[in-house]
Amino acid sequence: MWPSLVARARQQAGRALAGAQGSLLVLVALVAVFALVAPGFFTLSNTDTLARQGAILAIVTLGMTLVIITGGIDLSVGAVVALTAVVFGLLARQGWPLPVAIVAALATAAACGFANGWLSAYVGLPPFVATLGIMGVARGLALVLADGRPITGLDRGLLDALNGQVLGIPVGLLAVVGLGGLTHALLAHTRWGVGLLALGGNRQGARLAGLPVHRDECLVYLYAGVLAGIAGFLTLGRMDVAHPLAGSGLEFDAIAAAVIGGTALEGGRGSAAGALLGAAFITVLRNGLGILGASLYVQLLVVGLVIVGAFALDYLAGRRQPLAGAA
Amino acid sequence: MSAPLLGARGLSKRFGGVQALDQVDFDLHAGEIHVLLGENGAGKSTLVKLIAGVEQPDAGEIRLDGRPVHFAGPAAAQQHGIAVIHQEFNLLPNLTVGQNIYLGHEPRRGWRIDWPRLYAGAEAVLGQLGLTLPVRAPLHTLDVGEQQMVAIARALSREARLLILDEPTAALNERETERLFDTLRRLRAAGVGILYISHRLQELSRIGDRATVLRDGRLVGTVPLPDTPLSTLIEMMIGRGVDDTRRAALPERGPVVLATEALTQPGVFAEVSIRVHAGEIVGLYGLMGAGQEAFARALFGLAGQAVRGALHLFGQPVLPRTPAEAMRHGVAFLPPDRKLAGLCLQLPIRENVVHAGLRRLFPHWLLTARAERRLAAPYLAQLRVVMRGCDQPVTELSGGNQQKVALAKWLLTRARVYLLMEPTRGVDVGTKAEIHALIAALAQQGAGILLVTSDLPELTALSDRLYVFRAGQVVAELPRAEISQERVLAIAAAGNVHHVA
Repeated sequence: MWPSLVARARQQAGRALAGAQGSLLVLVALVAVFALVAPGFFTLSNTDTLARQGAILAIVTLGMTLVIITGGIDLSVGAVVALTAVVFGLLARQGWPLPVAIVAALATAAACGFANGWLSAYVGLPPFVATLGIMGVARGLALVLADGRPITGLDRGLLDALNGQVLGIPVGLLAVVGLGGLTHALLAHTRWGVGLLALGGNRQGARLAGLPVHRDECLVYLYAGVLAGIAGFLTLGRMDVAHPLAGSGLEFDAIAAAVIGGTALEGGRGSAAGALLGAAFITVLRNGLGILGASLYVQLLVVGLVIVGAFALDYLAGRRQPLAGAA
Repeated sequence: MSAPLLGARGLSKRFGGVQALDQVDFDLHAGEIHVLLGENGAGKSTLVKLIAGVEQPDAGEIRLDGRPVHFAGPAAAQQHGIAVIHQEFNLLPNLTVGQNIYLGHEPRRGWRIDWPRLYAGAEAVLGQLGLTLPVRAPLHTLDVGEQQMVAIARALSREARLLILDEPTAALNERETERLFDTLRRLRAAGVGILYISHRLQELSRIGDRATVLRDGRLVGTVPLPDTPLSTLIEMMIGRGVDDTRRAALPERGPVVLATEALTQPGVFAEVSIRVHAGEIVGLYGLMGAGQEAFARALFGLAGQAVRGALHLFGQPVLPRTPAEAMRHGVAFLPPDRKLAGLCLQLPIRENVVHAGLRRLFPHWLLTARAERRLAAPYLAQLRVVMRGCDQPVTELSGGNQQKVALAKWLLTRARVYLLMEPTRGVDVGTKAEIHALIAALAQQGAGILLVTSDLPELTALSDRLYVFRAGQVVAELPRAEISQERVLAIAAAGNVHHVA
């Protein structure tokens, strides 16, 4: 019984990683390079920093990956991160009970996600346009509500909890593991997940197979919005304040991470494991460059080059083995 | 006899200005293979869309087992046991065989998909069809015939009682076709009603019990199949009193302007050798996917490096790899779909007209609206384009006038070889006659014209000579005297299907 369970778990993990093997290799190579050339990269304290930095991106990337699998895109995630943090900060400052403030903030994130999904799936806007608009709305709202300034004086207990550890593992990392597992289960073991893959692989085919394509598509943006909201709480822990400019450019890193994690931009292919690997890659890249003394500007430049490179590879690989739908 | 499995009464459907289906009655019984016949645009696919719930009828009703039903969408039709297998199958190449079969109704344990039960079920369903396929493999690893079996297995897994197959053998070779027929006979014996749509007239008597023929959206009749000769079916499809007027007798034939020698695009068309003389209109005809359209595209450089063999234009050996290269050698190409490939609909008429001639007309890079108007005006006048002015966006014109603009664009390039694909598709009768006259005039002025059209009356009226394609090869060359609609259709639809090498 026990050995067979272990074998099955190993088998399943292997299958989940199969699509992301390339990303894993690249990640290992990158870590090796930085361990050699960046002093202080391979230390315990830096590993902790990596986990904290990476958690926010990883959680957002999980949602982004599902969205891209359907052939869509979500540009609003960074703004939703900020709006969630600001809404929570304001409510907490006004003395709302903590649990209520948390739920209200997450509901705000969910509402943004639902707006993305409703506009894309039911109104029929291109996701690029819908989420670009919601990005502006959410960021603008965050700035208006916070009057353009960070909200300070947040509950110390909560900040400590978000910054804390359970059994020696940072809370952010636990959240990544939990949400990564949930995302994998949803994608690989539910009708909704298969429907998302179908939607991105052949939208017309999915519709003609009688799948609830509009509902599935709407829900994926809702899910991405909620994940962005959770990431918003993690930014509170990192910054100690609710900043209306938190998560600026996060959509950029998340899209990059998803693509590096093997998500096909045209839709139909991607995995939770790949999303986490891609997020780890971007995090290690930025962290390593930082240790080497590269400014944020140089980091942005390098990540941009990496995106172009990853897209080009994805495109070339796609051209060499076209999907059989055309055959 | 009890009520038929499917009964349609007075079904009508309009799309824009076209009456796609007009008062059609139709019955299909359980345990019957019923063939639906008709030319392009006869209303077959509209009828299928109504039955499958993809579109809703404007008038009339559909009954299942004698009870009227109304389908709000494809899902509703599926719940009533109706399954459509489209020509392109609509499978998901990135999912596994098993996932495709159970898409949307996966067996579950709690909220999780029960994968072991799903794959066991997929194997069982395929077993019913007498097949063993790797159910955990991604679909795109299967060949086309196997993918089609997966599509049928999907229908079976939903316990379909009415199976609709649209051109199921278009992509299959002879062995795969035979396997499909075995499967269909098995399903018929099990009491499934099958609606079968195909252009391959020869194969119908091997599989069909009855045939219903549509023409111009109307019901022509329903006949028992094995007893009805092919010639009768063709007559029913084409109809009496066809407009068989030919254009005036061929003038003196000029030199060869276009000739191919064993032109081949692997998997698409093979060993095609044709020639076109100056002043000649040469028709190309074939059923959907027979290779004639791909061949014409290849002549315009649209197949890139994939083409082998030789092409001579005006005696020069050239094999264009891009449209620009083909245009430099005096070739014009009118694509079958002017919305997608022919015109920039939002732009003004004058800009569309000069698009193909930019290099020649504006050698010094600068374009002015005035120069565009001056260049475009004579051609627009010659073609009698009905418009407010040539600054009007193309999208505001009628289909026929849009097509005239697309033609004017090529006239401006002074091409000497015209590849015209479906030049009058979706065009009203009056404009059609005008376009035909223009094509004839172009030939009169010494241009060589290759006419690729599925419109048989158009083909027979205009062609001086005609090549028939079947399964990627030229199977017949008919001189003017031997061209008739019946003959062309019979040749194109005849015989066994062979895969192109």
